[in-house]
Amino acid sequence: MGRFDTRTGDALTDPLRDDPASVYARVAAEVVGRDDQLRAMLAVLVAGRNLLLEGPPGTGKSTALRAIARHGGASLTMVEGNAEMSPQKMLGHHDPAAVLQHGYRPEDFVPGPLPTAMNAGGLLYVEEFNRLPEDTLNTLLTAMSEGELHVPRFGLVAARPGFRVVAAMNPFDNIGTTRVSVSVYDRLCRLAVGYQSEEEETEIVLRRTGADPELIRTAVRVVRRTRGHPALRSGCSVRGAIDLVLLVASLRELDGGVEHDDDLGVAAGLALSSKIVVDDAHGGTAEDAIADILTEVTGAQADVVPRS
Amino acid sequence: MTIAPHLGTRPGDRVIGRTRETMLLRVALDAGRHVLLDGPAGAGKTVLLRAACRDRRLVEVDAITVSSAGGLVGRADPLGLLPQRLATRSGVPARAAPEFLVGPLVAAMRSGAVFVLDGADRLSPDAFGVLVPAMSEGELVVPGLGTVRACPGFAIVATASTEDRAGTGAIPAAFLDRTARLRLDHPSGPDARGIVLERVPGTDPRLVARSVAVVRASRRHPDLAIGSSIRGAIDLCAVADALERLAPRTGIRSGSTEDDQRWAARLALSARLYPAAETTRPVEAIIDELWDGVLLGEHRAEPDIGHRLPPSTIVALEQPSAPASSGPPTDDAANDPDGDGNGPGTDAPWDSQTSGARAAAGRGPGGASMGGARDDQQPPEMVLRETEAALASFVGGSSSPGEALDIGASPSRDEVRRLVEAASRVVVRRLDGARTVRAQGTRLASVRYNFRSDDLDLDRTVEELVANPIPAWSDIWVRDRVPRRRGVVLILDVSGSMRGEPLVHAATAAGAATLALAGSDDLAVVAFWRGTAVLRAPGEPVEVLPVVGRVLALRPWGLTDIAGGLTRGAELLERMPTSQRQALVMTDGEANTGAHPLAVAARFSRLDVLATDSSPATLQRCRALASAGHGTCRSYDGLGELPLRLSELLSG
Repeated sequence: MGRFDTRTGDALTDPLRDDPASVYARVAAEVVGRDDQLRAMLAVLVAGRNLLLEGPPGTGKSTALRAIARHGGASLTMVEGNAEMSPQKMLGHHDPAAVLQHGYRPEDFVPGPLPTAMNAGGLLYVEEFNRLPEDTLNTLLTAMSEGELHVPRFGLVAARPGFRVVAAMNPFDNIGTTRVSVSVYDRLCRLAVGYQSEEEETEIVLRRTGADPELIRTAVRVVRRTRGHPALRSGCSVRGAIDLVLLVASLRELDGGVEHDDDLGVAAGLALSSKIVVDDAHGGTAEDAIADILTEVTGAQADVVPRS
Repeated sequence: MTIAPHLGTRPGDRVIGRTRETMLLRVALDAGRHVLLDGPAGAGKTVLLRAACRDRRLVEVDAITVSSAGGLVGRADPLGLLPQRLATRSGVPARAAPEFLVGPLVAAMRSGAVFVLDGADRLSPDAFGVLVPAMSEGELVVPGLGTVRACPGFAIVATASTEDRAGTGAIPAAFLDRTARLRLDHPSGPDARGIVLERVPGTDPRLVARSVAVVRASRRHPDLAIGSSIRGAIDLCAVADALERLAPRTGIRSGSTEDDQRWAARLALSARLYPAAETTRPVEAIIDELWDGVLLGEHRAEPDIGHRLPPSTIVALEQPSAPASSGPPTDDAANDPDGDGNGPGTDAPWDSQTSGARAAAGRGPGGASMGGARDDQQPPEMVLRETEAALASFVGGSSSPGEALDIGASPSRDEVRRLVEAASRVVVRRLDGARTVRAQGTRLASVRYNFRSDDLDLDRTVEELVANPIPAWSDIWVRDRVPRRRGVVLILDVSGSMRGEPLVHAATAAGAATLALAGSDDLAVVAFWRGTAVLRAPGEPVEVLPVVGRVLALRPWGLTDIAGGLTRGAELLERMPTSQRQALVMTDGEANTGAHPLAVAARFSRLDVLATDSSPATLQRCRALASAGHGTCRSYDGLGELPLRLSELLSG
């Protein structure tokens, strides 16, 4: 580190813009389903705009973006949005030892993710965008609209062609989030990403676990029922179904392959109770809600708490 | 590497239209005025400014890159100040005289340049402190450099979007007072089309017209709180172009241009549009409706509204709404002969908005102090008695004998005063154990090293090393979490429905909030009926007892204007110098005069509601109010539970 080149003279091409159609074909072949969303994501990026992906966790936002970056030949710089992500961390810092030796020299600047992505002409992927503190969000403003960034004591960083910000956030996430300002929203194109279809989710769980198709179908139905359930404020994603299937399998393994009636219930309690949020107004616990859903889906009375 | 202000104009910025605004800005600068360019995000403030200042020297600074006054005026090179022995040890020959690294403001003053401050609403309060003397005196005293005098031509042009409340702080009145304000609205239709075409060359002019029409319509749509700027139209055209260049969708459907344009509209606009609070439809549905409207509109001969901008004028800003009648309440409280900051017998030590506020002032039998109040706003004697009787029974019912007061059918002024004082003491005593709450979350700030954070703040550490060549651990500066300071306004319903016992509840709420936020947050208290009164102004240092007393001195009466109360609360919030603002209203939610409260509630970034009773109708109204205000609604069961519920709301 230490060397950071901000010359923009060399004519770099923007790989995404060169042949968008073939990138689209290759990405679509890799990702399960999601035709329209992939096309929309690509269109925004090909147009050189900044993208906001809005949707609950576990809906394949990162998977799709990684595939686009790989097939489009764009570098991907990841940033996890949280309250500790200060503007200095986003921008970069000067090497303290070198500053005491020589003073502030440009070559001692250690760039943060934002100047790195601008310099590489790649994608800056900010997950949990609405968890970034306000002042950190503000550092993105000029980079997004003008492709320029002023770093104190370093100077002006100009973005190479191909630089774009991709932000992802869960709009229903209210704890520890900041309200994103109008100026930031004004520089973003937004795509709402919902849950996959039942067939797509079954296919994803099958690819990840390779378990019994009947069990997978049940798990996917249970997980889908958690969304929009009256007792729950938010349900869980396909990750819940994957965990559920894997847990049922390992519970059976522990007992030497013997199946118990309550395996599904116990596994569901373990896999799902942390991923759902109970509606306070409705009363009841996460376990009650899961038991209700299991009974509804399987038709049999379910116990979520292991029998002693 | 010195601080490098961005000098001169950037290539490629061409202003389209805006001849009048450009002219006004040039005139103002010729007249030596400082200017605040105020307009919504994406109105083209920066472009206009660069065009108007073509033939001037510009020093541009983005406010978010300035963290302190030193970022504007500059600072002595700390390394040059490092003493000899530290310098020789690190192999650097000590310099004879420390070099002063000139900051952008000093550079602009010396060269008579226009100092451009982009995003002034995001500047730190500390930095405003050096701007103000430079503006009014044209002179700045810089430690380590001496007096800097502004050369002819120096002026400050700041840009801000004062409607955008998230992520921005309040601009100090002293700054506003020294600027002329040029309001810049979104560009007109023809101008906007020209701009879009320039930014996305080669777009079908029909699509350009559609995209401009749709963003303009979004600013007028009743279901949207905030519409899109022209950036939305530019992105729409660029995305539509990209969709066309992608292969048609896989699968059976093949993309048509019309479908793609609709997709592009959804992608480009959905982040930019803020649905109004009462809207339940997804924003995509509103975009579809807007787009359909634009397509339909093409078949009608639409008369172009043309230059819809309100005539932009340069006007000096007046002081933001300051207490008009009695000055800052602190002064009155300090001069109060009663010594408790408030005597019901004296004039109300708070400002009031309507003459009806006199109902809040103390009164004597026969209304001796009511002179000047309009008759139709005077509460009948019976109403006053009812509340006083409730206060007396409240005091009498409390566990302390000796404080019970017997008031007759027509208590004297003095009796009422003693009653209120006694009731205040009981309320405060019962607050014992109210929890202190802190604002949710923390912010990062530079603090001395305390064995917690290791995120070094190099600039400040180097400055510290200069002063102290043999540093202790506490001379290292790090960025660490400090509690966030909030601005909170408590809005109390004191209309007719609150007379009697409920007034004690309102006073308890005011006392509990004062205790809960003491020392950490800024609190203001507002009471409303058909008028409003500020019981505690932002920044006013008031103890718990006087605040409680001020509430108990009120005599609830009359109609309920919730919207009026909320508006007053919002005004006070905006005067608070914090970026995190929160409001709490205590009411039964039933408004019977004034504007519809839900629309006002939507203006708050967070408005919580404490319902005064738990009847289904009240809860329904209060929940609607809370959800419009992006907050939550709580009710409480009896006076004992009130402080707890209140601190729950305040702690989020």
